[in-house]
Amino acid sequence: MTAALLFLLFLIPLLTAALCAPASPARVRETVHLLGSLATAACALLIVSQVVMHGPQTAAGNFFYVDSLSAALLLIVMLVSVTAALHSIGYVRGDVAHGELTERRVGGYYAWFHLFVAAMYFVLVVNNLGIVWVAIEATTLTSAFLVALYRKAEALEAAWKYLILCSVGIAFALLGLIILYAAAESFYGAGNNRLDFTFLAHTTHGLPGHLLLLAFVLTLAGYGAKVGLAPLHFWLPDAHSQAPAPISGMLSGALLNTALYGILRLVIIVQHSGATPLVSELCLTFGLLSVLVAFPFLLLQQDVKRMLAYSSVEQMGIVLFAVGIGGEAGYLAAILQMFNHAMTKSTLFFSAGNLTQQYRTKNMSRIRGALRASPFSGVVFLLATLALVGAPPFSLFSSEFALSAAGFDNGHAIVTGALVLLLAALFGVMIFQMGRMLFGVPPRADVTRASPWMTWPLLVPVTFALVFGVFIPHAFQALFHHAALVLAGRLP
Amino acid sequence: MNILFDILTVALIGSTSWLIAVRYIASAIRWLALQSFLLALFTAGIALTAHRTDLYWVAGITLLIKAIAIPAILYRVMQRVGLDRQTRVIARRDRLVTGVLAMWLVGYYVTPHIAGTLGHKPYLAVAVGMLLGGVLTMIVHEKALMQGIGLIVMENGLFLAALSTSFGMPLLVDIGVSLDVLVIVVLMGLLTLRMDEQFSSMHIDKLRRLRG
Repeated sequence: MTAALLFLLFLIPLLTAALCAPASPARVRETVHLLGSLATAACALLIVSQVVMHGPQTAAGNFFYVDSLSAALLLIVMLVSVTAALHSIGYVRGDVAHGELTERRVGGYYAWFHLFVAAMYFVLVVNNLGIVWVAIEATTLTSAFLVALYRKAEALEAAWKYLILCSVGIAFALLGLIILYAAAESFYGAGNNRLDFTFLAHTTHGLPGHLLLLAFVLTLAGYGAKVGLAPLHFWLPDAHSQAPAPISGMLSGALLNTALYGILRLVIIVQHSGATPLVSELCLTFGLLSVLVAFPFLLLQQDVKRMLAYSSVEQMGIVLFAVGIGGEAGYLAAILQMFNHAMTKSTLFFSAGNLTQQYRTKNMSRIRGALRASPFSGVVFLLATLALVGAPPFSLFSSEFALSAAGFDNGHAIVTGALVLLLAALFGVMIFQMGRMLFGVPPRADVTRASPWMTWPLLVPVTFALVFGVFIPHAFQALFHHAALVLAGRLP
Repeated sequence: MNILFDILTVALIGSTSWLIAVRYIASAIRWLALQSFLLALFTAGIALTAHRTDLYWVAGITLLIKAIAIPAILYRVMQRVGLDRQTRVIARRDRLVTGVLAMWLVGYYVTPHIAGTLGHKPYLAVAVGMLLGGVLTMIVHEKALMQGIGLIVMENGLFLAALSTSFGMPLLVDIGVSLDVLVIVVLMGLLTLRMDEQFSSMHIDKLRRLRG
């Protein structure tokens, strides 16, 4: 059952990509894209439900391995990418109408969209950490094309930086994996499964601690560049702001978490080696640093999408901070924060995309009175902003609260106190910045209406962002809790 | 047989050092091709001495992708872009020599700490040096295409690291990495062509619009 689903999870996007690429009429292409996206999402959802009901799944002779941690991430990628798929239809039509895109490039857009989604799913379901690396690099390659889609000078610059910086960064992660593999081979002898997560997670007791730690540091630095952790975040605001809005949402909501997954797997492996204090300190330091570095850029930002991108740097810092706190409570807070941030930030990017397409500018001082000019997108944007800054009763409030409680509980009072102060300051900054756009009188020039494809789908992530602060359904709770236990090394 | 590996290693050191200081992009591509060819030979040599048949495959793939396909693509891109074939090195000669020497020294200094427990592997030092050499290539050259070449040098260094510590990564991973590298080069080629259309230059000075 799972094997067939996993097979379909990659066959459907590849097929959809192939069918979207050739020059077929726009309607046909949109239908294929829509059906392909929904079918892929259904497969992902079924795999997640298999894991929730029956525990970890393996397929194709241990090549695939899906546990609760990967299932939680699969759920995030699924929700974000299906919303992005629906939003894309309206957004791309708008771009074609405004002459930003030609029909030929639209085919390329949809094709790469599906390849990108497939690459992200692949990261989450393979067992071999080397293949995880290959898949994470593949997400860079497939999304670089989407970043460069508009082919303007800025878009090309962003894509170039993205491609080079992420590839260089991730090369160091590969060095970390090589060291891990060599250590496992020299200790346990040659074997096909020496880089498999299922092997490493349970047998690293005997491996030399300093080699495991070195492998962890290299992967943290390497994948950290792709997660956008300071000081390796320079490419992130460029790439996320130059990509089309649906892709920006996927980059921030889904891809950053997918790259972080690479680090989380190493965290689990290194836990057994007794190097946990240092791992935790590294995570706390880089987490706090990312929040700190993002602050001035958020304060002085003029471009709405760059602002959201810097906020992703900050949010990923918070997730890493929660990982650094550790313990069951800390890991649960990290998983919740990842999920809630993905829902909130993708909503913000999609609705910001609606606004920028309507106002034809990304400059926040020229987007005025969005609540009046574009009631639906404006209200969704407002709600998601409140959720993002961690206002109660939204979901990010509850996960940030859980995080700080765990932090004080686990004896990290000073750093957690510093984080809470920073978050409070960021609350003010973000509310001020977003308020400038939302309130006031809209400019004279008539603002075009957004297509229903761009508005209704946003209700999916925004509902999660609103509801999860108050109530998390049992199945989700179980999934997140199991994922936290996997991270703590207490569940297979 | 050991003498062959030693000769190959010296040739790798030489080609990497030379590549950092080249004046023409075309010669950088030729040195890169030579370097990848040497790596393929190295792999085949190890396959022969260690009786590992899977390594013949890896050697073949390295030869095809890294020594033939990638240089060919880079060469085509360079020809399409036409002008601007000279690369510009921002560092002075003496500093460059110091940098190159430093990167090999770092390689030799750090590896005993790693390799001590893995059984001493002298080639690992060269691998770390090559990795740093790739980074240095990217830093000191001002042409976009040279950044791509630096990236491939880094990948070559990683390949040697895997080869010298554990007879390479699992076959499937090696194939995946090689394919990734190939796609990176294709994408970089496409982006270079577009940038050439937009800015009529491959100089990275043109990539300074996005800030803050």
